[in-house]
Amino acid sequence: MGNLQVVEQTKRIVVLTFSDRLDAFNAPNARAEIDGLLADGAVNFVVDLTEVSFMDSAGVAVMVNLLKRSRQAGGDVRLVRPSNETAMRILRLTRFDQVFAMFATAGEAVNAF
Amino acid sequence: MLNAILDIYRPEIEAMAHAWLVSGASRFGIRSRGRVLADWPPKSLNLHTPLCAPIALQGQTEGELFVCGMSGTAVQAKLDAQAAFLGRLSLTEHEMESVTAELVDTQDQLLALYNIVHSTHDQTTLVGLLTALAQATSQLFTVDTAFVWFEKSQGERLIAQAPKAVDENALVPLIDQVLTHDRQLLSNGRPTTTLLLPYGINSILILPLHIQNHPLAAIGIINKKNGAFGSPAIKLLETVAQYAESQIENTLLHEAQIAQTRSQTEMDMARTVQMNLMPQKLPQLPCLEMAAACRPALSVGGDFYDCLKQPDDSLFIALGDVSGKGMSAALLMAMTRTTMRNALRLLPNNSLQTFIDRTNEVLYDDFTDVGMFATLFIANWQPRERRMTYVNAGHTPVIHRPAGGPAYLMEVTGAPLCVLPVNLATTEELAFGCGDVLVAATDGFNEARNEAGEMFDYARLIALIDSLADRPAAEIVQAVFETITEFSQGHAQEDDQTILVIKGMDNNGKFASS
Repeated sequence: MGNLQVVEQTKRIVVLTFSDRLDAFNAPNARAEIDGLLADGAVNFVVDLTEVSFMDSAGVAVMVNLLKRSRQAGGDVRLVRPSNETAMRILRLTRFDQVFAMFATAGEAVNAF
Repeated sequence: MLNAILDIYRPEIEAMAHAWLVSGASRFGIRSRGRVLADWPPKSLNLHTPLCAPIALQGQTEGELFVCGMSGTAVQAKLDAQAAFLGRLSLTEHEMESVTAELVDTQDQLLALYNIVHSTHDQTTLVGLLTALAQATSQLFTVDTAFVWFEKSQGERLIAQAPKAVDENALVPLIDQVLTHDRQLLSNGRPTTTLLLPYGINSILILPLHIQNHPLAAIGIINKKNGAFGSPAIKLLETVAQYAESQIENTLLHEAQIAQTRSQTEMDMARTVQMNLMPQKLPQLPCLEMAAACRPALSVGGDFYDCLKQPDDSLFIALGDVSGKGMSAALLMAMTRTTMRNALRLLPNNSLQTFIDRTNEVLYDDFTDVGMFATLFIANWQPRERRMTYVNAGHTPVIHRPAGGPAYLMEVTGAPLCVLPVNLATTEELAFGCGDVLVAATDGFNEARNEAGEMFDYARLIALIDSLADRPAAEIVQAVFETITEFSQGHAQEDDQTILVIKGMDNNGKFASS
């Protein structure tokens, strides 16, 4: 076996799970958290919106900001669909469902990297 | 104290002695700690054992009266009474001395304060104030130097020393110690286990200064020229410190007010500039009635709209929203508006697809650098065909109310600008003639909240447009603002609000909704 070299590679994927509301009120906190992760070198993100019941344009802006910065750094963002229809509506209305790769579960989203 | 009493009341005490001598005493006097302070007859030698009575001041024996050549309880009682009287006199004298000393101290402090106030009251900058305080303090105390230190923010330290006599870096550990423990530091050069004075400093007194209740500054005096720093110096420096604290707070407030005024002036100018980027007058077209208005949440914002009559008499309209608020959104809004205008000038055959592709391409990198994006609704209305071609890049709400109603929310035709390097929004068509109403607004309306946190939402906005459709465009704009203001009463406007209303009229300029 002297001619065999084993190299194991792992890919860092950060799963961000939001719950309840992702709106103008808590967007600054979310953005600060994301700033920290990006500064720490994270580039691949799964944003789990399953438990998000409400989202406004400020919440969407947080995700777009993350998408653009992670792609600039060579990474990407995958979304887990909100189960709540109101939250899903804003993504559909603004066609962000075409921008983000969307998945039913966090596991599927992680596996898609 | 007994010496002082003897100086002041010598005639009275002499009269007392004379009375003793004429009544048969061979000698009378006052002594303290074995030493005779005064006696009558003077320096008399008397071998009689004297009677004594202690003179007490605040419980301590200060000395005694003595009389020789007489005896008996009556004589002792008389001597005791006179000694008690002298004790009382000493106490009164002692109290008067204290009051006088305090008055002198107070006067000195008032004078010192007057000098400091006089030399610092017209200082409007922090640096100027600290320098003036250090100079005035240095003059007040007979010291080599005085300094005032202020930590304005993390890492931004100001220090004024007058005259410059010691290396300021050497003071840093001492000042840190004062501020960390919020306690005065006093050393008169005697070595202690905790404090090592830097070279060249023989004595030092530093007091912490409390700025808005936090120990953020310090005042100090170094190297007393005659003797050591004691209670009077501490007391006086404490008085100076109290004044310095209030002056530093006032100056900070003054500086903050100036900065706020300057910032407000700049924001007002930015707002004027931004408002001038919106059309000052909407173009007049025979078969359209239009009105628009913009109300930013802050002085400036990221909303924008534009209306241009094209050379072929068609109308180009645009309404958009840059993500975020304030100055950053306003700067990108101005950039977007300029890019759009340039793209429009080169637009072949009013192709909105080309327009949106070009605009996205030009803006993408700059928007991506700052992680922002913009939603945009653009339309081109052709008067002959009474049709509108439009591209809606992720913008809501755009509401169309066809003649006769009902109003509905128009779907977007693609994602917002600058999210992807290539915008995939498609161009759509809409018949838009007499009786049609188009309302393009920004999400500041549907996302307006009331006191309970409830949003106005799309449904209420659509119903509102339905109910207002017959009114002139300007009235619709005004009524929408009024309704939103009333709905969100008690809740501050969170987002910019911009609205553009277009109504299709007949050839005579009349509107018929059905």
